[in-house]
Amino acid sequence: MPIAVMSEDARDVRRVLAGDVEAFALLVDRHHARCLRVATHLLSDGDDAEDAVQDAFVRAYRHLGSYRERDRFGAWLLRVVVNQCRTHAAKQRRWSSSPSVSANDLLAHDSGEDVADAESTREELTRALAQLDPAQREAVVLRFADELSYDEMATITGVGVSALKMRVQRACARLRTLLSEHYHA
Amino acid sequence: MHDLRQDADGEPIARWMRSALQAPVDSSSAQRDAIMARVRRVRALQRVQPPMRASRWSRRGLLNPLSGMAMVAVLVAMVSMRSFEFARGVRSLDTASLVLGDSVVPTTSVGLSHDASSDAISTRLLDTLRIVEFVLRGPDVRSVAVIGDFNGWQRGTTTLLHEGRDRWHARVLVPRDALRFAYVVNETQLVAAPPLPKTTATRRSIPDSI
Repeated sequence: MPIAVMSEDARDVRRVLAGDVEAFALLVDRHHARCLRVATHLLSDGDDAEDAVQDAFVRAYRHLGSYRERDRFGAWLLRVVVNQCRTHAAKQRRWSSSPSVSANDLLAHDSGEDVADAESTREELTRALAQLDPAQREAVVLRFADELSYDEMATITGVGVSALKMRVQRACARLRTLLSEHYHA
Repeated sequence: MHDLRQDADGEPIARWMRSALQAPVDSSSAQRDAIMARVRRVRALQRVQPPMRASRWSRRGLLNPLSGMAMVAVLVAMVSMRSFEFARGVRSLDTASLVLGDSVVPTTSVGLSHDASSDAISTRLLDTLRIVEFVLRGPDVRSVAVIGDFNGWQRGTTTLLHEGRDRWHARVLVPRDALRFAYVVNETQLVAAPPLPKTTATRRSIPDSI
C-alpha cells in the first residue's frame, strides 16, 4: 500500500476517534472493494460476503480505539474481515458446500470478446475454491487475491509462515487436480 | 482448456488463476451506504475509546484534590463499616469453657494390679486428660468448631452440637497441658477465648446465663 494511502488512513482514523463519524465513510470507500473481494472468495456467496463485510466494518468502527497507528489500517481491517468470514462460515456451514450463487454474479464483468471465457474461468475457479479445506482456501485467497506477503498473512491469520507456505502449496496442488478433473470430465 | 502449470514467477499457481482471483468486484455505493447507516446507529457509548490519560481526567475536572479526598473518604467509610459489622458480630457471641474434671480411669477397669506403687504410677499415667465443655451462644450461628492445642488447631475435627435457642456445646477430652484454644464460627469467623486454667478446679469464664 502506498505511503500516501497509509497516511490518509491514519488521518481518517484520528478524525473518527475525535468524533467525526463521517470520516469513517472515507475508510469504507477506500477499502470496501478489497474486503468484498476477499470475503467473496472466502465465503463463495455474494450475499454472505456482503453481510460479513458489513459486519466487519461495523465491528472495526466499534473497536477503532484498539487500532494502533503503527499497524497498517488495511491489514488490521482485513484481519477483522477474515475473522468475520470465519464466523459467518461457521454459522452458515458453507465451507464445505458448493457455491449457491454463480461466480458470474459475484465478480465484475469484463468487457471485450473474452467475456464468456472469463466468466467460465471464474465460475470454474470459484467451484474449485469452494471444495478446498477452509484453511487452505483462506491461505490461497490472501496470498493471490490480495497479494499479501507471508509475513502479512501470518499477522492476519495468526498462523506461522512455514505453515502458510505449506497450505498455499497444497491448495494450489488441489486446485490443479480439481480443475484438471473438471476439464477431463 | 486452461494451462494449469505453475506461474512463470515460480508461484505454484497458474497466471490465469491469479488473474481470476484478483478480478475486481462490484463495490456499489448502496453497499457502502448501508455500512455507514449501521455505523451511524452505533451509540457513542459503544465505541471503544483509547484509555484516557490522567491529564485528560484532570482537564475534565474529574481529578482534583476535592474528588481525591471524597474518594478516600468513601473508601475509609466502607472499611470502617465492614470492621464495625465484624466487631458487632463478635461482640454478640458469648463463649464459655468449663473444666468438668479429670478423666480418671479406675485401675481395675484396665486390668492393672492393686500394688501400691503401680497404682500411683497408673493413676498418674491415666490422669493426663481433662473433660472440658465448650459452650457458645449467639445469633445467626450456623456452625461452630473448636480449634486449639488439643487438636493441633485443625478445623473441623471438633465441632459443637446445636442445643437450640442459639446455644452450641461439646464435651471434649483435652490433654492437661493443652490450654490455648479458639472458636471457629460459620467456618470463617475466628473468635478468641481465654486459655484454660492449669488447675483442675472447675472454671467459668462467662456469666451463669450461658
